Amino acid sequence: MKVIDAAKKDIIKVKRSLSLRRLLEMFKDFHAAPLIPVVDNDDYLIGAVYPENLLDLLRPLSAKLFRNIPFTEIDEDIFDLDPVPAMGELLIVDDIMDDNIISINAHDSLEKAYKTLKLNKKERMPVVDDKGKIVGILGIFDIIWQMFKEKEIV
Amino acid sequence: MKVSDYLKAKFCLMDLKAANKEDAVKELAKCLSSSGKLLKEDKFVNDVLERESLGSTGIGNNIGIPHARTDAVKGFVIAFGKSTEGIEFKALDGEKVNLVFLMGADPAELNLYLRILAELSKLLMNATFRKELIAAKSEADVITTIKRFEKG
Repeated sequence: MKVIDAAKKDIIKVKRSLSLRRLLEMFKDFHAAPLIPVVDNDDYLIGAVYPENLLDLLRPLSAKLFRNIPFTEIDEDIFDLDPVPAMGELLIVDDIMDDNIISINAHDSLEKAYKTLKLNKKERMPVVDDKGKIVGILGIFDIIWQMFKEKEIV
Repeated sequence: MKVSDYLKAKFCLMDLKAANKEDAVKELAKCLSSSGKLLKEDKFVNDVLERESLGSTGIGNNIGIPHARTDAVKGFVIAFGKSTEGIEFKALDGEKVNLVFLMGADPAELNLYLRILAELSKLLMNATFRKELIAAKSEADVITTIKRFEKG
């Protein structure tokens, strides 16, 4: 079974010039915080915005430094910070996107995709064709669903 | 983490000569070259201008905060420039810009870069702060003013 068989193909993608305000408005309509792929004018994948990137706008720097150190208790109260309205226009996707992203080829196996997600501790990742153009998004649940389908449960 | 931890008097220009955005970025980038953190000054300028082409950082109130995440910078840099005449900046409100903060960070410093942008935007929302920056007579005045408002 290939990645492309299980991936969601009707996806929302953004350009890197989109403002933070517009991006947040897009996030609002999802019932779970999504991964939003960033593409250039020809649909080539150039980055992605993960919910963590947005949280980093609110989180103190110290919290990030200590995040991976076990037994370290830190105050990570995002409500202590107050970003000002101007940031909604000052920041654009290009400022906050992750350009070192994990993606998977549409023709790779679902097994490889599952391992890639687990290894990188991601819930979902962009799917690209041989040229690097985005063709979909694949999440853990898409893989699970495809497995149930194979067993003719759905 | 504060703006004053990174902005030093030697990176403040009290009388920007530039009349447009491109020249202002070049003038401030040149000023930053002595920091030793600009690995490629020309590339830094190009990357900042490319970022500007995606969306102006002239956020209104005569302020511009041009910035870029780029491998032309090692760590993080920030410079300040003041223009009495005003700079054509394609700002959101269409007004000229008198106060410019130029920032650059290497891609690994995303968090620091966003934090400083947030701190700076917060300071610049304060009309009294903007007025005092405009009135500042020297580089040292700029730093003193920033530190005073950072204390709240």
